[in-house]
Amino acid sequence: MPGFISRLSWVPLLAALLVLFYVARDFPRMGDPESPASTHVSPRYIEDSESKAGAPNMVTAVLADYRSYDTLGETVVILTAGLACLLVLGSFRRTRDEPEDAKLMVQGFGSDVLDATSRLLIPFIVLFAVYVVVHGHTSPGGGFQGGAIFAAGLMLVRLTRGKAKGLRLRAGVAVIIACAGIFIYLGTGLLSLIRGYQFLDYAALPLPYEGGHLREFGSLTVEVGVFIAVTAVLMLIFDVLTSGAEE
Amino acid sequence: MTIEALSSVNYWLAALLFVIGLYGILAPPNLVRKLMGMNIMQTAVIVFFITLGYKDDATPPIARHGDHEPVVRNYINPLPHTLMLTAIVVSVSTTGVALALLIRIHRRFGTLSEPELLEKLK
Amino acid sequence: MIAPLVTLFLVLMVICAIAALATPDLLAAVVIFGAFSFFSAIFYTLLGALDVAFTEAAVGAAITTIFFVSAIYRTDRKVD
Repeated sequence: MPGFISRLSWVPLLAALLVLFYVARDFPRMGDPESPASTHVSPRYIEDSESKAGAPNMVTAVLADYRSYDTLGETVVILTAGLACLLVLGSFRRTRDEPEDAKLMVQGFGSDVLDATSRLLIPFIVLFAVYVVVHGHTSPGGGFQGGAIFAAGLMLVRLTRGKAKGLRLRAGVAVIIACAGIFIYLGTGLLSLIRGYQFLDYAALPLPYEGGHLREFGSLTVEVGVFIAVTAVLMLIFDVLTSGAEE
Repeated sequence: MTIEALSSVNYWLAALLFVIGLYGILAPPNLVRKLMGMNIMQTAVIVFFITLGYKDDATPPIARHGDHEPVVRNYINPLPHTLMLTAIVVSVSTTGVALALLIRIHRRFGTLSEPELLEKLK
Repeated sequence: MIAPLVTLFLVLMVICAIAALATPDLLAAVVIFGAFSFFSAIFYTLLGALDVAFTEAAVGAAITTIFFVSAIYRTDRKVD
């Protein structure tokens, strides 16, 4: 934008801020248990999530059981973002005027302090990521959190050792692994369709449990699919953003 | 100011954060700062939703051990938390794609400043 | 009391947001942005949103900061 418009842009922003201040007086008092956000459909989620969905963690029960169709859409959005990154920047050849500092993110730092610290930390990071996914229904956690922590551990390996380490999760392999994660999610839904139930109805899974226990295993399967997809896509975006700077 | 008006201070600060993010998209000429402004706007919306779901003297939405008939009054509303989990993950995906686009723009045109880009595009 | 603590962290977030948009050095702006994510994670914990705080801490502090730093290293670092 021309210079004078971006200097004058504080005027409509101030007007928007005053309108928002005026409207904020009509919101319910913060902490009100009878506010409209807390009285229509969420009492049912709170009361039924342990007995019917099998998960004491109500957020995971809503995410993986009551609204699992939305979570499927969200995982596909993450995969689409990874594919978009790959299309924009993936097949780029290095030009001559790449900044010098950028090589550091690909070669590895090679310092002794970083080497020793990462050897101590990375096994615990990876173990904690798997713990968070598996315990997603009784404590805060789930597929997304575990995927992000696992990806952070792998990025630590890549940054301190160089791009040949870290499970060699380069861009091509990462796309296949991400699609495998989404196939696990879709496969659970299609299995329910094949056996005559509705899409993503966990009562159709062929396991020797029933009621809340069966739905707990269904949501665990779905969370593992989300975990694999999120890890692979985050490593894919990291690889695309840093890999153009090699020699 | 009365005590009721003071409880909407949190909503005012969320609105202020939103407008700061919007200013960060409009005014600075550098494209990376515009991206930071977009992230600040997304965080402001998430702050607003989490503020909506809070209840006084209530615990986080995980059923206590041995509590098989949860009383609705004692647990924080889990529905805004679920929606905001999706919002955070979509936000990081959008940031990744935007950064890939920025690297490509810099490689093609040599600059990340918007007035110079508009000159070079003519 | 919990109420002034929540407002204090919101004020800290506003200060971090203004600082991240005003610093001339982009690497310093990215680090302040990481602090902004961390303060928002504490805010969500204070309001009882544990899953959201977990995700925001893992994604905002680690992953978004690494993405921004790698993009800044490949483009200009000092602007304005």
